[in-house]
Amino acid sequence: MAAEAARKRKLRRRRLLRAGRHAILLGWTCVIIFPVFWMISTSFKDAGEWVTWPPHWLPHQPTLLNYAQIFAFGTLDPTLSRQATEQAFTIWKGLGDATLVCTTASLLALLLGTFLAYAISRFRVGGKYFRHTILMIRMIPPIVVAISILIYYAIIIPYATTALLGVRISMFDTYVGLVLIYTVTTLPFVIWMMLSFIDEVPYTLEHAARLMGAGRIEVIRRIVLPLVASGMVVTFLFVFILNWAEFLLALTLTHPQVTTLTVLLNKFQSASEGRLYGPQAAIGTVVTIPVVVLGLLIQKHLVKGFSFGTIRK
Amino acid sequence: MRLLLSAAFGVSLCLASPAVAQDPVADRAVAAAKEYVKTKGLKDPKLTILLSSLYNNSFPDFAKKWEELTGVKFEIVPLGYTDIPAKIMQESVSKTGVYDIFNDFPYTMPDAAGAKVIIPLDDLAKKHQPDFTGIADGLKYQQYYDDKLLVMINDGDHLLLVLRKDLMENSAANAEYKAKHGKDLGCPDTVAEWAQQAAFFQTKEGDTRWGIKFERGLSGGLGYRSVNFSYRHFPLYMKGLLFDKDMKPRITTPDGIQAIKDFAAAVEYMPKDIQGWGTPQIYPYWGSGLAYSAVSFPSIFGFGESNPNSVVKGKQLACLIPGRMVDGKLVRRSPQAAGTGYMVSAYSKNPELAYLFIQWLTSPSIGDDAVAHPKGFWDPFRLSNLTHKGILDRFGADMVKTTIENTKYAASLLLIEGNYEYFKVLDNNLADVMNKNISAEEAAKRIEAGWNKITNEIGREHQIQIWRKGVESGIYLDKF
Amino acid sequence: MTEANTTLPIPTLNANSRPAGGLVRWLASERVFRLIPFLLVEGLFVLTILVPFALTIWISLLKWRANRPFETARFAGFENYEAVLTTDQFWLALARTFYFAGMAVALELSIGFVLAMLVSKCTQSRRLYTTIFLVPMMIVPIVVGYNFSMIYIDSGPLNQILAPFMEAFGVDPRIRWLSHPIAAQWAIIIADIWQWTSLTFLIFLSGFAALPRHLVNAARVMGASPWQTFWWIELPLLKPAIVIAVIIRSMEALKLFDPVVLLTFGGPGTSTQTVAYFLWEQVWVFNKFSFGAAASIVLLIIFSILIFFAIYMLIGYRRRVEESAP
Repeated sequence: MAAEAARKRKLRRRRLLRAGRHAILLGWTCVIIFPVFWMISTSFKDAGEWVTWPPHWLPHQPTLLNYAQIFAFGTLDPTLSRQATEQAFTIWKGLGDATLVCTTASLLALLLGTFLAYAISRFRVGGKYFRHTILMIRMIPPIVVAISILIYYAIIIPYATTALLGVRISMFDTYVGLVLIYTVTTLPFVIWMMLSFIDEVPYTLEHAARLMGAGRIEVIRRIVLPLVASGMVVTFLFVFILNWAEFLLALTLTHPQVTTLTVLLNKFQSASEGRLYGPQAAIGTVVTIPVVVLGLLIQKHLVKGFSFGTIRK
Repeated sequence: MRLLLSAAFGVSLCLASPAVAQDPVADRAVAAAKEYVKTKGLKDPKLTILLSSLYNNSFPDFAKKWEELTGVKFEIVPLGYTDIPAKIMQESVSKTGVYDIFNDFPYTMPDAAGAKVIIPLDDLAKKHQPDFTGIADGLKYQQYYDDKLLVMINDGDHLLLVLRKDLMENSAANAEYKAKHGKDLGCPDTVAEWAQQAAFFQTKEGDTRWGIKFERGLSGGLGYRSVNFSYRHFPLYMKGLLFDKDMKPRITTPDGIQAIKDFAAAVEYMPKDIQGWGTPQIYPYWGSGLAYSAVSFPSIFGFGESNPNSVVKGKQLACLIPGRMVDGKLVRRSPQAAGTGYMVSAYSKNPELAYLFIQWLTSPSIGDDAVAHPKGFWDPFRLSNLTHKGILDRFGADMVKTTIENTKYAASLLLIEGNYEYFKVLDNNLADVMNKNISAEEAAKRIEAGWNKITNEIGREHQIQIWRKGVESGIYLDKF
Repeated sequence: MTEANTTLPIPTLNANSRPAGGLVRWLASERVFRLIPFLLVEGLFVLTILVPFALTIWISLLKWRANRPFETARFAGFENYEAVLTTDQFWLALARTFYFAGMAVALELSIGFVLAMLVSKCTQSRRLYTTIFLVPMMIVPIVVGYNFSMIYIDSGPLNQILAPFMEAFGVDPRIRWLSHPIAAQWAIIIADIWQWTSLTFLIFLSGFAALPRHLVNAARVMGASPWQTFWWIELPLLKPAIVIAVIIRSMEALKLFDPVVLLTFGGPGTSTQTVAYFLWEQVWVFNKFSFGAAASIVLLIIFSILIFFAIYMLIGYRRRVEESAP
């Protein structure tokens, strides 16, 4: 009898603990979902509902006006424009520039990084701790990089090209400039991640292929690459997300010729231009959804990747 | 409706051009431009302008007209006005030569001049003879720096006081005010009087006064109190210049400290989070009839009259900017809080052509047409505006009269190098005082220290010289 | 190690693969081949990182702000460094940055740890919770900043939720969080926590997942209470994860910039100015190039010290883990 009662107590205690556990986890879930929900809700609100008190959790008069505004072509026609102070803040340029820059930079980084990761993995290029020191690049505060690159792109390179080629080429506010700096800042990540993938491919396979007379490039192309292909996809997506979300370098080194989405969003934030909450929320939603989807796709690899190898061994 | 208006305007511009352009200044510019294109043999002449995005919906009309008259095309690069100063300075460094004309507040001009990214226009002005008659001194000499003509303006953005006529003329309110303060309601002469009226009209949400129920309350007054705007309104409260003859800050004088106190005290009768408000918050708030008075750019009046959501149409009264009593005399100072200026890039390939466009745009006839443009942000500032039909229609005769009268008191903000840095120091400390983090005395001390540091860094001798020249030319109206 | 594919393409020397020419053979030789990517990447780094840094140092030795043409900039030695080191605002911003980072990381670690511990105990809903908890990390930081700016306005939902408490104390619930210096600081810290707890959660989750079950079970069998198992067995095994999390998050948190620009522009006055924002303002708003260059070198030196410390710890722990593995 006593054992029965004890077991019942234990069971209830266990149930209570489990309920408590889920309560906390659900609580945090609410905390996480709330800002996202608020953003999506605001994106469907018209100007009158942005700053009401008490705030409207769901729009009382839902409207697609914000989305119409950001997806408009050219200047806003009067039906879409709210006030005389409103400008044509459409998403197309930001979207186009961001896609172009991020894709190119990520591909470039992937190419170079995989190549180097292969060399590090197979040949111990750069010494034993190269893979750690290369991460050092990533640890430099980006503002320091931005200041240096600003001076480099806007002053030195034009001087150099004028002196050497007679033509003044500035890399400030150019696609090439931004792609270059994005590539360089994400290379460490590519190398780090591809290293973990390439390390998993046993060298014996390549060795065997080499013995049978295959050239180096062929070995890489036919053996290594297919095996790390999924890893490459994951790395590409990870780096793409990083570039997509990048703000400081884009803000300081580009605009208006090149305008990424993050910089475009910031234009809505300028304290003197005022807060156009609705269109900002719409852009935020449009920017966020694909990235979240992509991120969830590579979720499994993120979990593995962020163990940083210290746990696996 | 808006579309119809601007279409009508565009058409009228085209139709009117051959007949109305009796303006020799504009004609000279057009003729010289055509001559320039011919002599230089330019196949596809083009001018690129870095334009403040506020003018996205109005400037292109004039660019098109210019193209029709001279054959010179325009490429417009719009940019938010908070980004343009940085862009101009970056151009001084990267020297891309992409832009021919910069459109910005005149306050960017000193740094740009120091960086030599804009060219002095004196020689070109002597050759082509622009016309600055009818422009008040405070605005006219803003175009000069260090004795050189560097920017040409087409805008009178000096602060104006707008009142709610309906509330002011309410007899019950009048009686109560007279009983309390011994004066009638009306355009206040001094800032203190304005504060008094504003405090009087400050009403809580849901209260009923004089038979009117104020559902959402009534703010006594509106003004700009956010960072990047406070410094534009501060001169209203400051008696005299910000620096003395030797560039020593006067902010620590009793007048200066009192100015800080008064400036900060004004938030008592403004909306609670006024420190985070810009034009897109203040204008609609005014338009919704939630404030009794507002000190703002003159365009707030037009907003109240023409915005479809405005409920104050016909209820507005434009007043001269309230002043301060100095030695028993009433001294009014209306800060030219913004302004629209046009500068020629030093790296432009066709500087003379760029200058000619600016002369054309700021000429008496075209410039006035610009002010009349329904979607533009050029405000009245020239005497000829008093008789320009388009301007009178757009703003209303009373408002135009008051604004032009007000230009007599238009004073420039600091027009020296590093001015944005000086402004920031002022703004940050004013914000601290408004948040009750530090006292006005402490703020004054910090502002003085910050300003001295900047002056020393840029070069005290240089700054003193420029400052003295500026004060001499009369752009600040006050003298030493 | 994962299993390789069962069907391997075995390359054979056939008519299609030509014997390599001299140059190609030299390139393909072991010595040279492995250096190609190394040289490419290092070359890129030199051109894009080292050269600009050298130039930054040079600029920092000149006296130049943009309102003078570059040609007139004169050599000024360490004047700028002196100016930076005596600028109160710089040190205050640095101290503030450490404060923000410290608070944020401490909270992120605690919350992430607790969440990971709880989730690792779940059986069915683990995947679901993991997926949801990872979402904030993937949202573009600028959007996060914007979201919070909406929530913090005086007529925002945060105030609405807190209204009952506020009104009980007679305080007007419509608080302007971002206009109050201390509240604005916490607003930024909270925004950072919201986004990056996902990362610490992730790291700890892998840590918990990798805990050797047999050790825990052995302890239980020998009569240890859950608390004792936790404190004496699980926690020490999780130390590497904790170290990693601290290092990674601290490094990132010290660079705090996006939320500051988004939410407060340096805050009421300068109360939320981080050192990155301070530097940005000096160069991009006031155009003080040589001052900014000097400040960035000073910052770089400070960060390098921290980085070396971090790398040392990372390598040290790595080595210790490798040595202790059976």
